[in-house]
Amino acid sequence: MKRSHTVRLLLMGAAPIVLTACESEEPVSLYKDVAECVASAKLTQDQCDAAFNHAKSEHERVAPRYTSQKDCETDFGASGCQTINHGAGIQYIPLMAAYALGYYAGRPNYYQSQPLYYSNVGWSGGGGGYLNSGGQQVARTTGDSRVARSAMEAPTRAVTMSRSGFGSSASARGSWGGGGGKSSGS
Amino acid sequence: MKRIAIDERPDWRDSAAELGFRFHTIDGEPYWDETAYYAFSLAQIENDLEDPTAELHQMAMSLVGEVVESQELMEKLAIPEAYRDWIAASWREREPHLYGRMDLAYDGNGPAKLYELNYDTPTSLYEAAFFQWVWLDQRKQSGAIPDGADQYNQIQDLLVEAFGTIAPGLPKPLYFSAVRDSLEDQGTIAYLRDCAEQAGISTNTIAIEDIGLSADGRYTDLDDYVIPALFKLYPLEFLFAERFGPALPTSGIRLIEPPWKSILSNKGALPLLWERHRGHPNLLEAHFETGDEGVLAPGWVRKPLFSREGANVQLKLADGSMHESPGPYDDAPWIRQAYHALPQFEGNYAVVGSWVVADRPAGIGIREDASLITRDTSRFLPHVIL
Repeated sequence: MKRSHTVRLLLMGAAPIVLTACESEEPVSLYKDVAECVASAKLTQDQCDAAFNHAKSEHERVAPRYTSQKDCETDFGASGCQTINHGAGIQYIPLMAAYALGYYAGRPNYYQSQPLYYSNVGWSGGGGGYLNSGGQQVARTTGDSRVARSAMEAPTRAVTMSRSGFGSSASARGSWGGGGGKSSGS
Repeated sequence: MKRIAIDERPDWRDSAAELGFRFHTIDGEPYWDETAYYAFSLAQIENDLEDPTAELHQMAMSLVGEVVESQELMEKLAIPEAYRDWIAASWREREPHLYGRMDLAYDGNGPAKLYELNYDTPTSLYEAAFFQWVWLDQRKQSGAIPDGADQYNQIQDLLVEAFGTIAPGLPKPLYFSAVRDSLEDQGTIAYLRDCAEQAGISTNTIAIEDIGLSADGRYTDLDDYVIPALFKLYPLEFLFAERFGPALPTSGIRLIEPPWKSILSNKGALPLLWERHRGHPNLLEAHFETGDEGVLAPGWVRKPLFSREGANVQLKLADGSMHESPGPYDDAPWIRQAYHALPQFEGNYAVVGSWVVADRPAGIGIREDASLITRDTSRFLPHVIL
């Protein structure tokens, strides 16, 4: 057969199925709080505190944001959300449910922590588990686990100074051959 | 290779709506056209299209390796100096590419001839990879097409596989971007994004016009998150020329298609391929214009280095008649290519778009136009192997 054995659409249309890419995995530890971290006996009290504080300080900045409480609670459960107001009006973010410590391969003494959120709907295959701020699945339960490297790379933010610096060629060249909505493809 | 008339599926527009195909009719004119299909033999597909596609692709890839090492060749291709080192580095680091389409003139006999490479922003992907597959499946079920019919179309399988292969080295999420108001481009990135999600890659979308630039020279989305990786259905040479372009080499962004694709989306690749493989059965003679050629001689075609959708092409037939397509790409150097007629079927000129995914030949899609120059007014027709 010289054609695809199956064709599928996840977002555009029909049947949901996911082939998982074989991404390299990294060890990660999940803790609900400092006490659980200390109890694991892998880190000192100070290290557990520092990691928790870092995740907590990132939390409001990186948590997924919603403009409606209902949407937030759909993803993170009733009373699973809090409000923030960072100048863009009231927004809703999930409560920080745990924090994750990832150890970078090749840098054994270096770890970074990030906040995690508990969702009952963000998991393929049903059931609940911990997601990172980008909505990626990290682990079902706290404790030691392995995750795709990308799940431990928290998204970075930067102060945007300017927009609309791309797209001008398309509009400049868009005046030919039939109205708006000119394709830039070929 | 035959063109065979067939009834449309009565409900295909509903099916298109269900399957996310929103640009099957463009400006009131049909684009997806299933009132006929093309039938090939397996030998025609394998010997005349698939194998030459693999060979032409390898020739194109070795050309990139040569061009990135040569300031002179970069100059010939009018690649801006500020981006040359960055382009060369992207090749040396083997930044992965995803896909490309070569347009071939083929009439069922003799060698297919390469018209051009669309290796940076190819469209007509969803309709080739997905919708024509569905068409065949349903036509076979209804008995309108014999049960043994097949199609040269592994495009989706290979796309998902290619995304899976590049996933480990790709910073995520991968943003998919195109100009906001093009239904066709938005449909194409929606499909590619779907394939990426099927391979387990976390994705996002942003309009090209909405991309921001931070104080420290990184590209951001509308929530100020840094865009770590960007699939852009937007020409590299446009990005280079625009206000945010100069930040590209130091921004740390990973682009798909990668910067080195600017060498192959450039029509200057055609004369360079000819110089290196003079007389190759699948190549048409081609030269850079130097300015002393005079007027276009009969039997030649003139194309700008940078052009999309068949714009700004001039061709002069052997009888001296001149055919021209209008367009905005009249500001770059030009190449000349020997004229080779597109085959005509029932009054329609058909061009074969042969897909390459990662580095493998993947399938074809056929577009027909009423004129000798295939433009954005063309129609897409399905095909089968009988």
